[in-house]
Amino acid sequence: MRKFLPLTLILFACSPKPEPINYGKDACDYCRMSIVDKKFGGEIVLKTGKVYKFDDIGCMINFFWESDLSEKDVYMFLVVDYYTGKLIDATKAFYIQSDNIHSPMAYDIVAFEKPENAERFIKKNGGGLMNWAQVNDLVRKQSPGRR
Amino acid sequence: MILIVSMIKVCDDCKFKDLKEALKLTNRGDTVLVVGGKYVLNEVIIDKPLVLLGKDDPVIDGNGKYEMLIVKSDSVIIRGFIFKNSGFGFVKDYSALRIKNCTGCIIEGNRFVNNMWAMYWENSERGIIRNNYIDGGRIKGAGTYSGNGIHLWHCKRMLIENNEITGHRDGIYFEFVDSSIIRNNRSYKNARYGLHFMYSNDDVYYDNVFSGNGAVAVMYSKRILMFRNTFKGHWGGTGYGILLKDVYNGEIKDNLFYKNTIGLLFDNSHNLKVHNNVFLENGIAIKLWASSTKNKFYENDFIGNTFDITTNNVSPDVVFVENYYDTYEGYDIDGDGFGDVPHRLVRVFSVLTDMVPTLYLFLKSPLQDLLETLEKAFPTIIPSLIEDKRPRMEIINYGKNGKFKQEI
Repeated sequence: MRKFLPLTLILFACSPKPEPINYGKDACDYCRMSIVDKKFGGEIVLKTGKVYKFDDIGCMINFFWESDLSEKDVYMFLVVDYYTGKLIDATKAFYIQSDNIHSPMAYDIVAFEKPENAERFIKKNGGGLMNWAQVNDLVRKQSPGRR
Repeated sequence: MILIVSMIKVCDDCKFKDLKEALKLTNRGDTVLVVGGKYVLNEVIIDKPLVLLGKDDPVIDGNGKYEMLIVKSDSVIIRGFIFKNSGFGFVKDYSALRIKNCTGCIIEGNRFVNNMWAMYWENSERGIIRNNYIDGGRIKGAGTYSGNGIHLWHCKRMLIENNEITGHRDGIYFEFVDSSIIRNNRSYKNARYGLHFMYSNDDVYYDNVFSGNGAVAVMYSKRILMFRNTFKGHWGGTGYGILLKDVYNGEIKDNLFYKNTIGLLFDNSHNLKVHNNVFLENGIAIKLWASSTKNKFYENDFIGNTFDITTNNVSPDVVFVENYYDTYEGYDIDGDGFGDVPHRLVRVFSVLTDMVPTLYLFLKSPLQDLLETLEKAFPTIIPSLIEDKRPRMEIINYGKNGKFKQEI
């Protein structure tokens, strides 16, 4: 059994899985800022096991489209749920961009796992509901510092 | 026109004992003098020009639940108060003092202690922030819940001087702030950045001391002047003296970079002049990413750094000229003060560690010496030859007229 231990370790290292963001320590792979705000981040997990972390959903989307990666390489896109701070499946999340949000890179987008939370947020702060494809289109049309 | 202004006094034995009630009775231009005492305020709004004077350290308290004071008028002066214990929230941002749409407000000589945000300015101009002591007091929580000390958003022509800021996320934060001055501040041990520019143009910061923060970050900004500042003790994987990201047309001069993991990081930053700085005992003095172009480095001192320059590749238009390097091994036969043979800036070991970081294990080992000697004899690995054709033989800035030494 001991003989196979190194092999299992290698297999483990390669199996892709999300990694919690280490706030205050990890830096955004797109804009290089250290990630401190627990409301706006995201993560791309590749099938190779490599994890990229971001401080702003806009950074994550721009990073992906400017890189050589294709969707085939990606195991999972994750974003931070605005209400719980948990990492959730980005492709199934609900997105809002609003002038009342101040995200680290000023894309000012937040994500929600549950549509009722998103609706409640819109009632208070304005903005329209978007899905993953729509938020990708939106970010790609804007440069950082959209105002 | 006759202008009638009056002074309203608030204290424990005065007619007015409650600051909030007193503020309701004021007229434009009045002065409110507050002598001692503690006042719990919850989003109290100042909507006319007033002078608020604190004597004997009156405390404005948020009881850990509230945003305390909101200024929504021009020409408000607040001086001599202690703001403490603002609310703390995961979703809502609480600021001890919020200033909105204000021209000509002055906030000076106050203490801000244990607040999420200390000051949050929005859409304001020609304001002065002076002589304040600001302590977030929550450095142990890595500041991830904490907000910034002095936070400016969509402001212009602001002056920020003589403040001391510690224990916040960013000491001073600029987002969309133009034509402003930051001088003589001390910003230390903040969880993320001592000073942070985002999308801000035509600003200048000088004579500040930044120490023990994550870094100072200048990002997505144009025409920023940075001079006579000290950047020291920014250690760690994201520790930089200055992190330059998407910066255009700035100038960095007469600064001291002392004991930072990386003194200056250039990422996609262009047209910067970097001169007369001292890089002393940093891990890497300057890290240049290939995406940065047209930067010029001259008359700087490189002393005691593990590596002076590292780069993944360099665009041909980068210029290093007439700097002093303590690692220069050439000679000056003609005696003009400049070395007669060029100084190769990138050392082979720094190229290798850039590719394989674990090679840092062999730093200062015989292996490194061997590689350096081999590379000198038969240059093969170093991708592009950047060199300083006129390296100085003598130190230029460090210690001249006592310069820089007092900061260490």
